[in-house]
Amino acid sequence: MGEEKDLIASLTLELRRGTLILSVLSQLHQPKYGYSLVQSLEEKGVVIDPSTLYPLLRRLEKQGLLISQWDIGESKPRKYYHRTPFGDQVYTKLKAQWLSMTSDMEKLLREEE
Amino acid sequence: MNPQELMERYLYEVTRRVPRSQRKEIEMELRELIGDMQEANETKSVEELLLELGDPKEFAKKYRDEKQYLIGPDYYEDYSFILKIVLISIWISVLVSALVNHIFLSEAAITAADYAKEFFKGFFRDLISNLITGSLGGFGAVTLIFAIMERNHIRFEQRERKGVAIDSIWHPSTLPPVPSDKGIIKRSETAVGIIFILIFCSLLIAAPELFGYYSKEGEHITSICIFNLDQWGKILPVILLSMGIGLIDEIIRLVIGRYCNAVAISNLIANCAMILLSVVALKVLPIWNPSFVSELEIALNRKVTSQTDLLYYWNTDIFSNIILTILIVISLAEMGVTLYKTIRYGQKATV
Repeated sequence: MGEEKDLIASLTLELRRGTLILSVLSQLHQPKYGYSLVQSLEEKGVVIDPSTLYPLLRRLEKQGLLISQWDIGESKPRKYYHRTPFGDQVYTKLKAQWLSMTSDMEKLLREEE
Repeated sequence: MNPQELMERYLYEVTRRVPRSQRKEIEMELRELIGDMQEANETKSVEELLLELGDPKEFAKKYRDEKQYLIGPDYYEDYSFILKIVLISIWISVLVSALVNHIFLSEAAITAADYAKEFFKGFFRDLISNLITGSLGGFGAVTLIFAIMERNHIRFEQRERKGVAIDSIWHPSTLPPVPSDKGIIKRSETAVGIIFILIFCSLLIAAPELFGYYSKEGEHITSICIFNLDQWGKILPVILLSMGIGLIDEIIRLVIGRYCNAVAISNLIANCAMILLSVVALKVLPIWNPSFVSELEIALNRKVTSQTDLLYYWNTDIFSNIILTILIVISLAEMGVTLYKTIRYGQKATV
């Protein structure tokens, strides 16, 4: 039983991994800092580890999809991320891909019922 | 423990594992994160929060996006193959040189029992210590070479067609032709070459006395070396350099595994360098033991006087010239074979 549980857990993780980038991009049409992103995603049912999110944000910035800025005005410095125009473009296309993929998957999975 | 201290330790454990250039920024990000977590979870202790963040090692791993290898999957197969060959060669040479050193050089052995005792004592001491240092050295050298290749992303890919950039988009037309059987460089061939070079070098380093004439006087065996051991410190590096070049050439052959321009060029350069170094070793340096013949005469109890005796020419240029000619002929032959096979089988697919 334990083996099956492990396998399902690792397969689920793999499925989720692909959705994380899209989830993150979807939230960053306006500037957000890391932890606020963790919380806002969690409210909507998407749980993401900070240890996954923070490196992911850096990676997306390196790829030119996001841009960051340190806000030093408040009590403590915070790094805000938001989508670049290029990020907007990529996000729109990814979203379209996702919607067509999910509708195909939906059909595929309903076949058995 | 003081929560602040705990946090500093955690930060340090993450940041020391990320690239230096990103350390400061990542540290600031993490301070921000932990601060935000504290604000959001006022009832939780720092310890609990850090537990949520998880192992700092894993955290740092996610920050390094590129996978880092000392020797990556591209090289691993060749690496382990060469490592095996090198270690086997080192073990064989360590065994042989320990045997040689103690069979021929055990001095002060009066009785057979004494001799056996002395022999085994020295033999095993040398064998074990040389096995350890030799294995470590061989392992280190091979690993170092491959780590450098990995780090610099040296790729032995062929540029099949002129004008096609190496990073260009893959297309079926860029597939290299399947080499004919004769165009393939067999692994066993290069393995034999590498083992020979390594054993020869190790013996030259550890037991140059092996190359000589042995005579037995009662219980005592002496060796008259053909090499000039007094000048060995000058001569050995030249031979080793030449062998090292040959070794690199063999490794390139092994990794590419087929006759092509890269193999031909490497072979050409290596053989030219080896010819040059042979000239230095044989014509410039005093490689031969000048008293070899006179010692031999004593050992054999006869005089070398006949002009038909090859030993008569020992201390003349003729002897070096003969050896040099043989070496050059071998090198030229090898270059010729490689060039021929490259032109014949290396370029086009066989139809």
